[in-house]
Amino acid sequence: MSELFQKKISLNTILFNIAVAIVLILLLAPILIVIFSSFSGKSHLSWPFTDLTFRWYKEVLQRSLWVKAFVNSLIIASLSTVISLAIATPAAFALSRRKKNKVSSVLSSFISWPLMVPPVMIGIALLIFFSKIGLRGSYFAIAIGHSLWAGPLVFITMNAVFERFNPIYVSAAADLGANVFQTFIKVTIPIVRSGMISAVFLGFVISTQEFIIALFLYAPKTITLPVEIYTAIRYEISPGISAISVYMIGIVAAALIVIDRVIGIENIGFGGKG
Amino acid sequence: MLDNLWKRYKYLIPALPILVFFLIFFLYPLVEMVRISFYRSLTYGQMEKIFTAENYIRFMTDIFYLKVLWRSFLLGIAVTAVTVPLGFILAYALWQSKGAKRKILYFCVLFPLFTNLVVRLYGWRIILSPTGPINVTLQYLGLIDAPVKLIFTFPAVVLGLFSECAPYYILILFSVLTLINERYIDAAIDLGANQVTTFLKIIWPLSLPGVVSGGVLTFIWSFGSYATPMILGKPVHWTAAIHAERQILSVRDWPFGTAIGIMLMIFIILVLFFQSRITPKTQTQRN
Repeated sequence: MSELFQKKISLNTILFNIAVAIVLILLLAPILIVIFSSFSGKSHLSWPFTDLTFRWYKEVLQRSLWVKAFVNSLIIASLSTVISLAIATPAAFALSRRKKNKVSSVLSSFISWPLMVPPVMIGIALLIFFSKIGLRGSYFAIAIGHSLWAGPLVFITMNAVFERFNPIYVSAAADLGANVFQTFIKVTIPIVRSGMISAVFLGFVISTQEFIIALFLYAPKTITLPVEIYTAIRYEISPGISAISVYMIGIVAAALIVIDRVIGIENIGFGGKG
Repeated sequence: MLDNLWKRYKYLIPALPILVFFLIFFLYPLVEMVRISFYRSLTYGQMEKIFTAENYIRFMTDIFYLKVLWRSFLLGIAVTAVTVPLGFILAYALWQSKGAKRKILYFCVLFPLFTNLVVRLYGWRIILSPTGPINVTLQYLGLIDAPVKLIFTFPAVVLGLFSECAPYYILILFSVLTLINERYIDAAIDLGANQVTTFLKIIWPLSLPGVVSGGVLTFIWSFGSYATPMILGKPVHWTAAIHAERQILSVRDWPFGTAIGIMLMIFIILVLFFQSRITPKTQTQRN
């Protein structure tokens, strides 16, 4: 009897593991195929990819179109990281300790509103706004747009970091005569530094990968890499585009590894016990 | 009185910058958008600044746009129906795993989440193309004679949106699963329940808040999606968001384009309101 039960459990486990594998394939297949196709020696992409080569990686770097878009993406990502960190960190600090308070929870949910609005709507609204004040197509405008997306996510991450932070140190600093500002700089920041480093990478990655808001706000001079790729893939698929995509994938992989080293990858998320 | 208020809300001062930032760059532009949707559009992208509801009337009386809205709705339903069970499997595996295995699974969820959507859609284009791995393999095996049309179809759009939404759904559901008290599961097994019964009677009801909020987010994002139907679909699969963008960037009819956008948002707000009515409260059990 017990043997039969054992057997049934293992059959369940096997079926479950197969299902997990299928979901993982659906999630990872598009990324893996892009990486694989970038080594294709043929100039058109048809399966199977043969004559494997690295030449596309060098070739795309010689095309100023891609390099310029890449540099633009880095400039905008840096700007938007600075903006979202500067606005989201203090807010996460202020709102983390008094979750029970009604005002705090209303404000917290307001800060995550931009995540609920389709990016196309944010793009249209900002396009109208920045056209009116004459900043459409500037690095600043795109960085602001990305901060509306990165800011809430940095806020959620930093909120989790501050929740685990023991407020006794803050009281101690206050007892010793430090004012709120001094306490924040000298006590709070050093304790949560690793969380902040992760938030920096989080903000940076989100901005380098976002493209819908950028699509509405870009000008030829400030076009970002995802927008350039988007324009390209509507007409062709080629190993060159794959190679430039792999550079983008590399940024994500590097950022995730850094975040994992600093706070542990499982601490990025949407609250919970994490 | 004022002194009292100051004391009570002093701690909120660090939250001011982000609130001001969102007021200027998020709420105000949205309000502007609402205002423009009531203007009258003239030719060559000009607008007459009068108050008229004609853009909304045009949207609601044109069968073409009603069909677009209906198809966006069906798309959202289809994607949610695929994502909820498939995402549950991975969230469950993530919850049950420990140590290095959990780390690897977590990485497998976060990696696609952060990888550029365009890059992932490009990957799907390669996989589904007539000379892509699926078609070539099927032909090689002799199962089909000519390439099957996989790309620019409704299932392709659903697949693309699944891989877009699933990572978020999985993380939301996982965070709810971690709140479940393991003792309930031990108790059920001690009382003789098998895995299936334990799942149906204990885990599923307790995970419902995560399924609902993750599922609603999936629906909203697919309903309002732009890039995926654009790249993996044909014009017949275009969502309301794409038509709003076309009106604004191509036709330069800002009042009508913003009106489509506002209709989309009203629909999303209704869905969120409905969700807040049906969502079971997250139950936190003490360990």
